[in-house]
Parts: sequence; structure tokens; C-alpha cells
Amino acid sequence: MEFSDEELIHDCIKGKRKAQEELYAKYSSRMYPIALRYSKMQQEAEDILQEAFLKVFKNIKAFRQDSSLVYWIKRIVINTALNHQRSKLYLYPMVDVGDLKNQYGPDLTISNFSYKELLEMIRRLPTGCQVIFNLYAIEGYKHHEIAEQLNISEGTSKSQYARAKSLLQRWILENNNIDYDRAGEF
Amino acid sequence: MTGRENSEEQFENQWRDAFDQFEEEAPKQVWSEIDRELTYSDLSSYKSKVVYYRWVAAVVLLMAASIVMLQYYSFKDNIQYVSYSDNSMEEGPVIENTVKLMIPLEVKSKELSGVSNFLSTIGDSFGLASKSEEETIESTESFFTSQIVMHEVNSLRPTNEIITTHQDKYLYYLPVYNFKKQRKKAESSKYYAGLGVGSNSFNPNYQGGATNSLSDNLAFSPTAYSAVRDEASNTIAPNMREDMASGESISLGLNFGVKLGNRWTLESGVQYARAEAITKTNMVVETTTFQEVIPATVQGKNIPAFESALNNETVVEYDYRDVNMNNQFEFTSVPLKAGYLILNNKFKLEVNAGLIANIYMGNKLTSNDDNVADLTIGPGSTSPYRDLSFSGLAGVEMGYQFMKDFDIIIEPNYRQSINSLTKDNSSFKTNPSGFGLMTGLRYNF
Repeated sequence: MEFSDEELIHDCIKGKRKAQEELYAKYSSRMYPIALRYSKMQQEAEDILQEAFLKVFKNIKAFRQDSSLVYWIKRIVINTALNHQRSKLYLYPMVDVGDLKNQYGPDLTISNFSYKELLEMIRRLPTGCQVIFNLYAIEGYKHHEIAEQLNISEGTSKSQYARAKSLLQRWILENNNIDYDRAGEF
Repeated sequence: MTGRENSEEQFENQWRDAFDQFEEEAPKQVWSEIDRELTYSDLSSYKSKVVYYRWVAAVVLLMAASIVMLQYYSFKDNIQYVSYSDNSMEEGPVIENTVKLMIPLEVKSKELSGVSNFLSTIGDSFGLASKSEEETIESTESFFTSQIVMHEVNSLRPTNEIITTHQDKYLYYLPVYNFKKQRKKAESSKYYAGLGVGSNSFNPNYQGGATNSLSDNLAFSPTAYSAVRDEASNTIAPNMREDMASGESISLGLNFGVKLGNRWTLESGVQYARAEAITKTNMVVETTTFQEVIPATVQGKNIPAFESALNNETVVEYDYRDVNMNNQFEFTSVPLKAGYLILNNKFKLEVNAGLIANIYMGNKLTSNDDNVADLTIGPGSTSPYRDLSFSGLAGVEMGYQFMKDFDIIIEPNYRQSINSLTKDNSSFKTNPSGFGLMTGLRYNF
């Protein structure tokens, strides 16, 4: 028997472990890929997912039922992932990388790549580029919003995104045969 | 929109579509870890309650032991053993049908006369001397004991067979406490003193400053933080957020009082109080001078070692991490309260109200995480806490006189801080309040 979101929320607020497990089972498979996108290693993604769901259970009383539960959980997963990356961003501050031109033209397609291959490409990006590419290209945030969130300049966000895009396009063109074992090299 | 912009959007749309509804099962151990953390979290919340129940159990045991000891020694002093022998029964067979009556002293005159009359009637009927039953009557200050020996009808003789001696052959006693006499003494006592222990809920009613930014609260300005005040879980850029959740407090003290007339009382004393609350912060600071990370909390703003580490630019990293720190406030309190006795019998009922002066002794912040440094915020000029603060107190005291000069006291009460525990220039305020229960023993002089 599948419980509705309202029932799960109600029981989670009461701290019922069965409901918490049900909620996790229902949404973890959609959140785990997000955690993977923002991390370099699988262990880091698991830590992000674990921490995010603990925050969900702790703060579920604050959830306003007029909004979407899945969107709310997704925001928490992204926040948690950003917190994990933030310390790295302080250690390796992001700087402008100059005005990069789009060298590869508009007709680049990624349809012949699997999800796993695309995921590995994103995880190969340098940390700053990876975070900003995720936020801009996939989450759909604007550069000024990213700049506010990460406390960087809008120019830094744009240049890091351009760098990310350039790297991805190069890898796509280079092939079809990316050596994925090099993940984490950056 | 230009063609170039269109093509750029196409690139992003392709990535967005590729990741949009994709699902991947997370490894099983993630839930196991979450389950373990949730269980640990539940246990932590129970832990503070267990401490409270342990204190209550200790107090109950102590009081029970005290009561038993006092009762034992009191009765030991007051009980006299009544015995008799049958060495006078030589002259005729006596059936040892022995009936013992235990009659409270207060009813002696009334009921004894009835017994005497009854025995006199029997004695007259069988030629028994009416004197005999009087000789078997003994009394003490607190107890009255009467014993009657019934003789077989055919062996009764008008002689004085029944003689009380001190030969221990039978030992009968049943204590009947003479409260009335003692109550009179207690009512006449003007002064009293006692011991009390109690437990309160402790709601710190924490109020943060006007902004929650790290720079405002910790007196340094890392450019990396903005002043957004929303909860971390609802924003993409969580800022420093700090809160203090409720806990419990326990107190132990001596009290003394005086009765002003028949109904009014004035009571004071001295108490040691320890209050617990949970500080929650989402940020830690790693420095080169401390092995552990330092929790970012406004309470630590003026701790010299902490401030020095920040000012000397020994900070390595600011990290967002949810940290729960257990506050352990310690106070010496001096209450002064006036009471009005509604009932003043064996049961007492008093309503009271007053003021408590709280002398701040310190606050120790500890974490279960060994990697997080403990902080101690003492009193003094650099402390965010006042050396002296005041609370209001109102309660209902219920007393029960369980011994000659002793009352057992239970008092549900409510406390509300009148002024903030913190100084005016502190960037946070806390006005604790809470319901509590005091229990204790009182001696009436």
C-alpha cells in the first residue's frame, strides 16, 4: 500500500520511523542522481543524500503543504551539496577565466551519450565549474542568482560556466571515447 | 532572441532533459546510516530526560529512607512493651484464652468505662473481683493498652490471680499515633527550615540579533557571507543561523521561613541551579591554533582565545556544519517569597509569590562530537551574561505533616525571568521561563 505525501508528512512529523523509511524509499532514487551530479566521488554523494534526508526529517514541520514536496526535498539536497562544496570553494577560490568564445558551434548534440557518460563528464569538471554548470544549465538559475548564492561576482559565474561548457563540448567532440577512469583529475 | 542564444539554450536544454526524470537507486547503507542517526538523535533527547528521572528517583529514595528511619527511631522511643506472666495461676487451672485490646489514649476514659462495666458485670455474675481488670491496664504517653484474661468459668475464684509483672512471655504492641498532641506543637512553631530539590522546564526564549550574518555576530568580516536570515533548509545560500532550544533545570537548596501571624509566611534560602539548553549552529571555524573546530556561536564572541585566533588570521576554513551544543548554565539563586496559608492542618496549602536573584556562575557548551571544541563562558566584563539577573516566581505549596516536627513539601511553580540574562550590549537576549516542581522536607522549630 502506497501512502500519500500528506499521510507521510503527517506521520514523519510524529517521528514514525516507518513513515520516514517510506518517504526515503519514495524520493531517494530521484535525489541520488542530484547528489551524484554535485560530487566527485560516490561516497560524497551518499554523504550528501544522508545529510539531506536527515534535514528533511528534522525540518518537515516547516514544510508548507501548498508547495511541492519533491521540489522542497530537491532544494534541500542542492543546499546540502552546495554546503559540501562550499568549503572547497574557499580553499580554491574561483577566479574569472576570461572571455571564452564558443569555439565548437551550435550543432553539438549529446543524444548519443548515456546518462552515466554525461554524469561522469560533469563530475570531471573542476569543482567551481561543476557547481555552476549544474546550477545554470540543469537547475536553471540565472547568473546573478548563482552569484548571490555563492557570494561571487556575476562575471565569475559567467566565466566559470563558459569554462565548463567549453570543456564539455571539447570532450563531446573528442569523442565518444572518453577515458572515464580519469574522473577526479581536476 | 538571436540564433546564437537559441543554440546556447539548446545545449542547456539537452542537458536538462538528459537529467530531468532520471532515477537511480541509492545504496542500501545510506538508509541504514540515516536510521542510525535518527535513532541516536532520539536517544539524545531521551538522555536529558533520563538525567531528570534519575534525580527524581534519588530524591524519592532519600526521602523514603529518611521517613523510615525517623519513624523507626520515633516509635522505638515511644513504645513500651506490655507483658504478663501466669505465675499466679498455680491455685487453679486457667485457660489461656487471652484477649488483648488496644485502645487509643483519647478514648480511654469513654471506652474503658464501658469495658469496666462489662467486666464488672461478668465479675459480679461469677464472683470475680472487679479490681482485677484494673490491674491489667497500662498506659504510656502515646499508647494505651488493656489486656483482659478470660478464665474458664468453673475456675474463677474471687482472688487476685492476675498480676502484671515484667517477665517477658508475650509481646504485644500496636502503635497508635497521637497526632493531636503533636499538631498543637507544630502549630505553635514560628520558624521552619528545610531542604528542597526540584526540576523545571527551561525555555531560554532565545532572541537573536537584528541580523544573523557571521560578520555581525562574530566581530570579523569574512567577505564570503551575506546577511540572509532564512533557514538553511529553505535557501540555497544558508547563512549563519543560531538558536537555543529548551531543556531542563535542576535545583538543590536550603530554605528557611518565618510565620507572620496565623496565615502569612515569609521564606528565603539559597539554591544551586543547573539549567540545560541546546544551542544549534550551522557553522564551524577551523583554525591553526585549535585542534578541534570552533562552533560559530554569538556566545563565544568575546572569548579571548577565540577572538585572538580570529584576529590573528589563523582561520583555515569556515565550514557549514550543523552542530548541537549542550549549554550547562550554573546559577546560585536566592529566592524571597511571601505565602498565604489557605489550609493549615495536617495538610497545608499555601499560595506564594516572590523574586529570585540569580547569580550567574558560568555556562559550559559541550558537544557529543569530539572534533568540536568545548567552550566555557564565565562571568565577568567580557561575558555576554549579566552577573546578576532576576526572576519572578509563583507557586502553590502543598505540605503534609508525616511526623511530629516534619512536613513533606511539594510545590508546583512557574518562573519567569524579569530581565534578560544577557547584558544590554549583547547581540542576543534570553529571558528564561519554565514550569517546575520542588519537593522537600521541612523541620518546624
